[in-house]
Amino acid sequence: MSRMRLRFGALLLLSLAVAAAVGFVSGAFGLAGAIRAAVYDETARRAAHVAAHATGALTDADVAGIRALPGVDVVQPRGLGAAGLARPDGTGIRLPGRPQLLAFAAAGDARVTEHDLAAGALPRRPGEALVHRDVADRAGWQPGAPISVLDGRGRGHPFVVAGIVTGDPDQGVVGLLPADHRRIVGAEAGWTAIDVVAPGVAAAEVQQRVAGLLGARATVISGAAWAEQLAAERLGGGLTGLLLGLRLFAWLAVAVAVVVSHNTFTVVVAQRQRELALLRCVGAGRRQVFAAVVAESLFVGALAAALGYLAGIGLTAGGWAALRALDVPVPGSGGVSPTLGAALTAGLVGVGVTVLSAVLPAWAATKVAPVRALAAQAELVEDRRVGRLRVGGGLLLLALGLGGAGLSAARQDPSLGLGAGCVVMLALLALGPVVVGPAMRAVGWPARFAGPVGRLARTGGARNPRRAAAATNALTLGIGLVSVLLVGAASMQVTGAATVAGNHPVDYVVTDWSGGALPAGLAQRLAGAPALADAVPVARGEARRLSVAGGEPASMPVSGVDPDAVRRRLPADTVRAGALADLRPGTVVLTTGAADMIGKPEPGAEITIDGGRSTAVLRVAAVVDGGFESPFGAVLVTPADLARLFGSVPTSRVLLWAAPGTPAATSRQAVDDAVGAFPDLAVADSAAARAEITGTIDRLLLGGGLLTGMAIVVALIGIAVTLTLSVLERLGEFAVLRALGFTRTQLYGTLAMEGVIMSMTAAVLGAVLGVLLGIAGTLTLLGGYNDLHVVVPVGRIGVLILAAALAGLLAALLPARLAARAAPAAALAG
Amino acid sequence: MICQPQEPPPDAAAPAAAAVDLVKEYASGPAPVRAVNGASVSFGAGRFTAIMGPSGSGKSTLLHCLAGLDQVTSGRVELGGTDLTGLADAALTRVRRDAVGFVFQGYNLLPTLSARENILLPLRLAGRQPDPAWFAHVTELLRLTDRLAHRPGQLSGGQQQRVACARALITRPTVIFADEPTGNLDSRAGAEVLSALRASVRELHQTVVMVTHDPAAAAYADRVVFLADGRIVAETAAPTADVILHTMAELDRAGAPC
Repeated sequence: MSRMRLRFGALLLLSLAVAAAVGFVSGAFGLAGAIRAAVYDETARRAAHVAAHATGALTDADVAGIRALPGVDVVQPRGLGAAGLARPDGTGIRLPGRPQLLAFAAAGDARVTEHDLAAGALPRRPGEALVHRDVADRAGWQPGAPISVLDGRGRGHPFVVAGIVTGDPDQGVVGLLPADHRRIVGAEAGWTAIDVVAPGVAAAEVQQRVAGLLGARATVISGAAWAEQLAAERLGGGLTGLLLGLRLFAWLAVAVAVVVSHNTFTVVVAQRQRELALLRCVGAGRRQVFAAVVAESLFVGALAAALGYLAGIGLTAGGWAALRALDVPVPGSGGVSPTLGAALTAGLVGVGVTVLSAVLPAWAATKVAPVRALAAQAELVEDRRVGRLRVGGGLLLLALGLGGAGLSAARQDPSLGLGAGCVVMLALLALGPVVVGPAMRAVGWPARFAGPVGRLARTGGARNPRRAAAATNALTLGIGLVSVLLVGAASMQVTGAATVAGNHPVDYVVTDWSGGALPAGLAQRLAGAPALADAVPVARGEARRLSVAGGEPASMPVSGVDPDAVRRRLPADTVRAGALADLRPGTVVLTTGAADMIGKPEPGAEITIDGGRSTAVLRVAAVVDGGFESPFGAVLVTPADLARLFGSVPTSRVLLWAAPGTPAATSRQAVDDAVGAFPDLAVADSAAARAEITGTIDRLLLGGGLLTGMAIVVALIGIAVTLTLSVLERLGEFAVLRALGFTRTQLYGTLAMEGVIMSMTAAVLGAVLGVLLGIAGTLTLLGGYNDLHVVVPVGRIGVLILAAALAGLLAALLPARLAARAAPAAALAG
Repeated sequence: MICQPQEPPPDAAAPAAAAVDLVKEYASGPAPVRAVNGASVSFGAGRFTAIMGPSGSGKSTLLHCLAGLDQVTSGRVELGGTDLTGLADAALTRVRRDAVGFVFQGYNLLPTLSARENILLPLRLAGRQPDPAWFAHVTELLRLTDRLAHRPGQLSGGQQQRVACARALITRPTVIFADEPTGNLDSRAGAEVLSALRASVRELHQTVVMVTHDPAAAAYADRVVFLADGRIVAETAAPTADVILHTMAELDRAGAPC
């Protein structure tokens, strides 16, 4: 009777595992659906009043022409252009990490605004502006605040903040009414799109008239089509990738649930052999036995589906919160409405998973011979047989997978790498029963020293390797994926930092956005700022031809820099060959990237450069680390040689170094003050670039961790179920141990240790495989980087394994309680 | 003498275990079932005693209570001078570990451990060091010397039961309780096990209390006590299979309660 109750408990636990998977699936799909719905909702709202949306190179004359069409109420042009922002006293405002600021054409009419207002109102009169919240926060501006907007020539124009808006800062951080926009950005830029509102006129007619007016210069579509376009744009890229990942991991959770569920039914059927045999003895047919087991799974599945559906709704809401916390730009309020589709999915997955996984065990149940009812004591299930086919196939898969991973790393072929990773995981599933037994004994080796408790735990867990493997595989997969992620992220972080350091051994780079010359005297002004230690102007000419004897000629930019500045500021440890001291008129310094391209000249070799004005032969002074992104330039000569080759070339960039000990905010403000008057100037900030890389990687880790967490939760429930079933089978043994003087605490300890050994084995196996695949994956994806560093974050992976051990302990608590309840007198009952 | 409950005559030797007015009830359904109903009996140290009785007479329950496996409803149980009544689970566990050895009908060896490990298990559980001389002596007496490396699955039923006997002996317990130790064995293997138990009493001065329904098995004992309806109803010293059969037949004829 108590066994029946315990079995019911195991089935309940099983339904939890399935419910978790169902929850993740319906959560993932619910979230995806909700995001899609919200995106479409928002774009539809934005385009609700738009009768026609024209795109092309459009002018003010087009705007006026459309306005003159009959029935047209609002004509809203769209366009972006560089603009500067300053306080009324002229102090420049810039956004760190954003080289320059863009102005958008603001709408005065709420029907055509592209922005949500956080405060204030839309601009009504000329001289009123919208500012983005990021700017307002930085400058401390409120609606009504006076500001200065700078035009392309750096002249300030007084404006008043009408409202503060949110949205993507790439789509502009200051909004000006079309006429003001013209004044600041300049008429020559034109408009990229025009939206037309014409209430009372059929939309198709408006489109026709606008199209007729603009002719072939523009494409005209309906507001609804525009909304579709916007939605597709927003759902493309990162958001879609995220949703895809979400679904992928949800299916992983389902796969894990199938394994756990199959396991459970197998054991439950094995335990009920006598009962089933008795049923057969009293005349139950095979079909009836089969139906009984399947009916049980149907019940469990339905329960799981219901629980999972509720969990999915909760997860969808949690997912919204997570996305917002991760700063993923998702639209909508995040409200979750239960849909029939989601409920059907939950039902199908829940019942499908459970019933499918019960079919084989149910079939096995029909094979129970009626005579088994008369057999004495049921033998303990001890299954050590592992087919040769399995071992051979598994080893073959492993060799194929690891070989493929190696090949993909060599060829940098991501799809081959992904395939190889999947093959390795398949090999793991096949080899699990072979590997897990010895692995458990190895992982559990230290338990020997924990006395009898440890010794028993060590042998207990490894007793049925096939089942132990099935239970731990899921966790192995999960931990493996996290390890891949950790290795990839750590490598990206170190490689990224090295790339930033290599590409930006400078703190700031000032360039002209449109590629033109820098204002005269800017370098001197920057050099005079006390917060800045050094300002090095760089001039640049496009060489028609660079060639060395026996190499491939190429055309590339050549930079002229003061040799003393190069010696002062180019880090000595970047020199691969030669010496910077040799940079003087008549010599050239190359980056490894440029040198590789033209035939790897050694220091001392001669290079012929055709600059257009003249051709000169220069000698290589040194080769330094870096590629074409090096801020000094890939090919460095003295300013005198540059003038000889190209004639007079204006300064195109200024490299800046902060004074030692100056806070980043102070040096950045000094730069902003100097360039504030020139909206076309872009400021690259290497500290911000580093922060962005770190932020991206942190987001990747957090997102990936959350997703993998789903699969791991199911895996842990699987371990709890497996341990529970194993405890049920061994209740007699535990009773004997209790009769022989094993205390409850000792029994508790044994089971807890079994859980820890099981989960740690899975974690160690997963971490080993994950690190190998992670290294291969990193080489595959990042192999092209010059400064690739493959990093194995030993500390983080160690923490991961410890966390898995702790989780295993938690998973063992319930089964341990069951075991500790075994009555010692039960041992004598036989 | 039959059907007249009486105080059993005191055993010749000092008692190793004793029950006084022992009552054990099981809550089952509306009315509790009295499995042991006021049994008083004592077991002399260094003696081999068999408990016999028809099915449902309460002999297994009596054994459980004597061995500290079950809490008693009323009355008293003494084991090696310790009063077991009212001891908490942890204390009872300690008593079982240090003062009691068990031989079960179903052998109950741990399948993952070798014979040697099974025999030494109680010492390991208690964290005690085995005495190699005693181990050698016990395994020799039970003729297990060449079977020590085998797992239970590789041993015959009789061999498994002798391993279980060795496991009980290894701690030199105050009393060994055996519950139908020959129930799963054929007569030859059963005889081997019973001889081993008798040898452990004769040669190792061990105390053994055995529950059995087999008169041939009980004949190996020094003394047989008969149980019916939860009470001691008869006993015989230096029993033979014939005497035991006769007594059992009389008990059966007397039928239900007196």
